[in-house]
Amino acid sequence: MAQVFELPPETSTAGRQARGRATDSAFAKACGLLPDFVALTGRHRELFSLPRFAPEVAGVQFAEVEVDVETGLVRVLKVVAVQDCGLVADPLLARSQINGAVIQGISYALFEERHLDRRTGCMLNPNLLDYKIVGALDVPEIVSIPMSVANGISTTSMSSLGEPPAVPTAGAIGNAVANAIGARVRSLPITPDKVLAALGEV
Amino acid sequence: MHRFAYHTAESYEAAAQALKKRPDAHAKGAGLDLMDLLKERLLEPTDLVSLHRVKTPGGAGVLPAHLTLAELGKDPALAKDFPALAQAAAEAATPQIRNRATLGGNLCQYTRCAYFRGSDFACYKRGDDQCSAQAPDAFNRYHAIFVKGGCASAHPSNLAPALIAGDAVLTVVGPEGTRELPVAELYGNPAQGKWTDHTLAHGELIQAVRYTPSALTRRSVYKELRERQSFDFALASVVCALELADGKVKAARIVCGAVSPVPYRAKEAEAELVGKALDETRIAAAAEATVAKATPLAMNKHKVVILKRLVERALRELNQ
Repeated sequence: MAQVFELPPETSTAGRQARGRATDSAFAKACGLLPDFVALTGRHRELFSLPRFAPEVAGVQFAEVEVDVETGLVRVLKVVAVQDCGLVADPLLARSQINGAVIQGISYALFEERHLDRRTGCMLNPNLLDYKIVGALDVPEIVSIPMSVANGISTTSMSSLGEPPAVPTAGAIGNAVANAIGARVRSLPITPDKVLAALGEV
Repeated sequence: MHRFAYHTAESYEAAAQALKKRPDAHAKGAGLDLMDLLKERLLEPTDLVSLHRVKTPGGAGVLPAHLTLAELGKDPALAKDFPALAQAAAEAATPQIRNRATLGGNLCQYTRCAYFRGSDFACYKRGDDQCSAQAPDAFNRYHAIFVKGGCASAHPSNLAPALIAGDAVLTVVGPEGTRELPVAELYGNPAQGKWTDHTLAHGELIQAVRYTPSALTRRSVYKELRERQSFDFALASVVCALELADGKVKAARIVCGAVSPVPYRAKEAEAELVGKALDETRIAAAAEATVAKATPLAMNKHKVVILKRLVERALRELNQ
């Protein structure tokens, strides 16, 4: 296993031994995989010592948006996503996974909503035309940076990377919109009517 | 899906006769809208009469009804003679749909109103005596801001406002013969139980659309705003056309889509422009006059603001 990931031979063994007890930054740094500026202390130390197969991961994202303040239309121009995803085995696959999550996050931020009729409780958009999910023309430039971290949780130090990068996208877009127009839209999706209301136009 | 018999017509006349014989038959162009309605069981026709084999020749200023939106959007002559129509076709739906959807079908499609398409709700168009979209707590973010009578649906066609602005005329083939019909008269006020937006009788089919390239059509522009850029119906759309002479507006057309059950021609706004020089004050006055009669519902006041901005942008672009 160690050879597959071009690690020093002792690393995977060390990981196995470390499993089950508090794993700290010293171990990861010894492997040469944890950047010096990251220190695992306090809460993070607890996170990194969770049982096997339940690793908690973290990520940070940045969004650049363009808001048409006359019509309330929001368009995302660029998203940069840095994601802690344990040890990266296949960088191309990892970046692709992050791209997909960011696209879904944009969908969540700007489009997806179940329209319900209040009197009957029936859904008004039970189809993929009216229930809007993001399409190709709405996807911006996405820069995906998988951050390789040896967390020592398992023998390979790998973590999950399916959904976690979808979590911060909407928050980043919401913050970028607030930064652009000087007012907050406090519910998703951020549609033109809500932006115009936040701007005091309606 | 509901069972139906399928007929392929060889000519518009034959299709009209086939429809006349069967009171519950429905004409089918590309079938993009019709198939959805059949699958939802909103329409249950006994017969479908397909027009996919019927072609009529086009020519200068004559657009056959079987032309696809993609063909209209890419036509270099149309882009020069009637840019608003080419832009309206190119902005619609998705590339796949534009490759199939026809001019005739775009004019005759049913409204996208969610209450019309959801069979659980009362709908004035489907024959009920009330409109669910106008109830106090209804979800009407995408509905009309110019409510006509009992219906608050928003008109879905991109092309109709452009054709009305260009004074286009339809050639309509019916069981009793052929007649000419201005596009402006194709749409009538919604009536209880009248499902369609258009006023064509059963068996009548659009064969071609004719327009005369003029100063108005050459200086025309289509603007729309939609929430999603990939595939979405407009929140509001507008076609503006101007004839300028000696720095003044000689004639003007402002026709709005997606804000009323049928395309809305803002004659008050046109009157603001005619005979005057076009400057920012005039443009603002015309935009204000466009929405002067708006009666927005609880959730769609933003459409008033958006329509005003679109009119301003369109007029600014035409003034360059």
